Amino acid sequence: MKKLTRFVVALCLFPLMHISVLSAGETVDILDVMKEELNRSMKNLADASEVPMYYLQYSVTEVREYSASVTNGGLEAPSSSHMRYLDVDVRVSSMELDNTHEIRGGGWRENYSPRRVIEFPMEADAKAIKAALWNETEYQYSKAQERYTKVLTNRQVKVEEEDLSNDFSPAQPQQFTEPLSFTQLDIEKWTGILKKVGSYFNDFPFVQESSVRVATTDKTTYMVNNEGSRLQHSNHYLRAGISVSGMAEDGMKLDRYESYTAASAENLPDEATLMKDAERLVKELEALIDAPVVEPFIGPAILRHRASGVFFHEIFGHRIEGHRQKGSEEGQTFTKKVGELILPEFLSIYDDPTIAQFNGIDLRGYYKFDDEGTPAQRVTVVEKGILRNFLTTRSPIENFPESNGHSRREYGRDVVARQGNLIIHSDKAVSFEKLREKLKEECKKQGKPYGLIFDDIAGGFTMTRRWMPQAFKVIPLLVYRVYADNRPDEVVRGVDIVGTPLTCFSKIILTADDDTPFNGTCGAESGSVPVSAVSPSILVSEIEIEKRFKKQEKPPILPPPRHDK
Amino acid sequence: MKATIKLLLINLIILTTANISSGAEIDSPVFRAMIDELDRSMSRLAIEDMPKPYFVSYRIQDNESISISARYGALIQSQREVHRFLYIELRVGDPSQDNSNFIGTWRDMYNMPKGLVEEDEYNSLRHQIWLNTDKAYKNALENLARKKSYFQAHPTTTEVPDFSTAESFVHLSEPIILETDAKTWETEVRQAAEALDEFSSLQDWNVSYNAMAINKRYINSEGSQHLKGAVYHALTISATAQAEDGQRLTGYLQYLSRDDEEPPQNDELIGEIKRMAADLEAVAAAPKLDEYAGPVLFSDYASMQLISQLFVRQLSPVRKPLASDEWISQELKTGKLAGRVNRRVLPGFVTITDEPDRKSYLGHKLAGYQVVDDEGVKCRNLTLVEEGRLITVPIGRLPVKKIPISNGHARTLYNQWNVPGITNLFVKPDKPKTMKKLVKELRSLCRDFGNEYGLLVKLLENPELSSEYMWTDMDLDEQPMLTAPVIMYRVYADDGRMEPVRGLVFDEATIRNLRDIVAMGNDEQVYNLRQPIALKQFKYPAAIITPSILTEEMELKGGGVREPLPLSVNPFTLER
Repeated sequence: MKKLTRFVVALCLFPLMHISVLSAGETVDILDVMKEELNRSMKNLADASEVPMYYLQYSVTEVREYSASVTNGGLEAPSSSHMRYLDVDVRVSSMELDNTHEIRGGGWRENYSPRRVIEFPMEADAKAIKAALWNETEYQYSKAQERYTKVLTNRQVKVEEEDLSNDFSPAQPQQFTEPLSFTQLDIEKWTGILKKVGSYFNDFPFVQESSVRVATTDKTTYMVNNEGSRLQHSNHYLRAGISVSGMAEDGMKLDRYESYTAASAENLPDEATLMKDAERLVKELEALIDAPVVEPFIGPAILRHRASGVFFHEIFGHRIEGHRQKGSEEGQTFTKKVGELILPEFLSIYDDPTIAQFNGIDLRGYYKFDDEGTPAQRVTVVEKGILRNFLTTRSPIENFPESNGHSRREYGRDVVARQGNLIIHSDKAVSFEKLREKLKEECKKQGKPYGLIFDDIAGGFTMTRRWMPQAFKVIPLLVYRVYADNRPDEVVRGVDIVGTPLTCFSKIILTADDDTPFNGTCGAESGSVPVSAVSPSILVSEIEIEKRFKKQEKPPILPPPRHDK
Repeated sequence: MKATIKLLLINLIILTTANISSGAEIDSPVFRAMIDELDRSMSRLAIEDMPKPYFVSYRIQDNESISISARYGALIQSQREVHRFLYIELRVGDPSQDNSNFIGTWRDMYNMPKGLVEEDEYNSLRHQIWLNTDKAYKNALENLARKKSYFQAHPTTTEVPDFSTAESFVHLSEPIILETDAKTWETEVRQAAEALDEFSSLQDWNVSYNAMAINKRYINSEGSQHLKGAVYHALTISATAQAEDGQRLTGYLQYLSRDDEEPPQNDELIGEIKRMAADLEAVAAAPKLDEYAGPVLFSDYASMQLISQLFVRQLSPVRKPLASDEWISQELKTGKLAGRVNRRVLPGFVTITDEPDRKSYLGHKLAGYQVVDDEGVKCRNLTLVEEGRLITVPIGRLPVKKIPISNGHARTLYNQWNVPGITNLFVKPDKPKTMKKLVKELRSLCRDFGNEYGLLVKLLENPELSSEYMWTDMDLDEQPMLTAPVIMYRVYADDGRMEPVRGLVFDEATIRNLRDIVAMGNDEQVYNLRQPIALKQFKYPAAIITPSILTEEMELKGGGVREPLPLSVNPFTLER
């Protein structure tokens, strides 16, 4: 134990040292400096070439991160970082047609390839800040001019586009500044918790790998543009997590994990909660290792609340993102269905990034302004089954000329429309127990011996492009077989949910009243962004599952050293 | 702030008391976990009817680093990191033919070491070693099968075994500790960046400092054990400017120092930086040349770069691995000098030695000093070139026909490949000349060629640094054998006057240019560097001690990357 204490004290120093160094001496207002250089750039570059620059935006993302973990019972060195990153957005020509216009046939490389990541001065040195802004503005301006030339040619050589809306829309300038605040994590306390919970798994020979971790991210965005917007706003993202994995005799790797999200340290779980979940995860893993492999199946199923949240995020949410209604290669599942019934009448869906919490749980999809400086807004996407709206940015789409505050990105990427907090609301909700009974009834009605309950889902992916099957796959972690004849539920493994969106939504027949948030990180064209999805458990009359890919590895030849007596 | 300092002191005290003696080190949880799992693997790791491992080695490498960087005049990063990695070498078959030296799948090209818990916790470490050894064993069996089937399809007479014998060697030094003061270096890095404020034609500049303490703990199934450690301090200052035709020029200073010798600081450093910036500005404003053929004098950093790129980089790898796929085979390169043992590669007045046992020279700690190599073999001093003839090459336990036994020069790269490399390389001419005489000889050669002038090159391009400033993508894997001159002067044959010039790249320089060396200086200097090998972008720390070098004839052609000039003025220029 002495050795552990020494190790912890030594490593806990790093974040403290590091923050004290780089916060010192902040005497200039970064927004003032950014605005000053932006004005100079507009003056110098607006009419420097034949094609005028009409829009310039500077965004600086400041990220402070800390993480600590225990893996297989041993502490990993905590890591911390504190960096600023710069994004410069340049638009040339006019709102009607500018350099950001899609280059049809250009694929991912021409339209969505990541920009360079620019590390930005951490100190209050106005000259250095201005020089970094100047350098990147010159680069982005040059690239914007190059791309605009390609856009003009692309328009000439391709057929007329289906969506003739502009490339950019006017917006009211926004001004907002909030005081800086930073996460205060009791590192010593958390190190003790991680070590205690992480050591619990040592007693179980079937646990091949285990990890318990905590991580914090403080993100502050500084943004100015030539329209007069001036913003400084922050978000705090804290996560804790437990994961365990093992291997079945047939070589299938099996994972169980639990994650916790918070916006402040006091909202993280306590030791007792973590330990209780650790015990549950071990039991679930043991059951999974011994569980039978399910054969491909079509039949009734319940997706538990969080699993359903992932399901809606992947299959529905990505298809109502604005740019997908405009992109020539996109499947445009819902583009022409505004005003039509696309979901059961008892379901409504809205995306509301302005909600910070749901039932006391912090939501990761909460933000005040999007990455074009538009205030976050609640958007009713589906009202009683009828499609009403899309998630939009300042790049208009047909019949939706304005942004509703869903322009999001990770630094170093171009913005696109993304989800924030996707909320699924049901007018036809029963208790979960009743939903289970309905599942059994549905099995009997269809003559199926059993249905499935998807208790937990790792994530999934959906393909929205026309040149690939516009299908989805969701990866369940914990699945139960529920028998119609009242035999006990049985854990099963080795399946993925597959399907196509329009078919699967028509199969939702009832929901529970147990609305619960799923918090995660979504990766798409504009990088990784924090998101949430709140959903009740849903009963579907029919879901298709297929066999999961599995590696063909044998379990380890020798027993774990701890258990090799 | 007081609290931070107090904690820092506690930290230093803790780390100091943790500096246990070598005898105790072998009983440490880290070594015990390695030894116990190695014993178990050698005695019991087996699949029925399949070969058991005949050789296993483990390396646990602890890296602790401080990274500080500044752009323009302000810090952009100050970070401390601690990482622990596990390297496993597991062989099945027998030394004449085993699973090694064969690339069965593309994954074998990028078999990075596995991260381990940094806590010295016996059970956790052993658990992770166990899981990774199991995977390594199964991969080794499959790779051996792939290799055997490759030989069935491509019948070959293999005269050289895959693994040479080596005496076991035990060397346990003290674990080394990173004692660098981050605060001091934050100030140094910031001041270094600020020193470039006054140079009006510079567009962008960066300063980075990285101090890394590396402790390598190694054991193998033949009884070798070692613990060796070193601290490397790398300081890089780079700046970019453009000529009026848009040619981008990136100048830089690079320092690598070892253990308690830190890179230059304060006035000494500032002076060097200002000289570099002045040279860069002068070259950016200099006339552009379209072509050149004739004598070239390499001095300062360029003399080391000539030896590093044309000689050292071409010494290894010595033997090309076999590959199951042709496209993989094309990715693999061997050093062009590796097969020229006993042949003339340099003029007769040149001797080159490699001396791993030299700790310091000319008052500088040498980056390549080591007692034992990364395969656990005792390092030996080598005479590589004698009277211009290549006598031997550095080699590890992968033998070649003419050198069947390791001379203790294996370096483990980050993809876990063992590749031979130099340690401290000394270039020694028989009759060294003063710089004045070298310039005189350059002018004389120009007259012989009928040239109006010759070239003096002080700095060659570093593509990694240049690419950071370029607007266009640069393929770092496809670089010429000798990179382009950056700081370059023409020296007129008639009166010896010097003028900066730019715009030339070497026209297919090869190892044959080494034979055209006609004289060397008496101005030898120690250059510690991260030496690249002829395989991807892997590098290792080494020292090259060389004087200025005069070559009789080289050909250069017009080249260099041209990019749009800025349309507005750098804010620094406005402030001046």
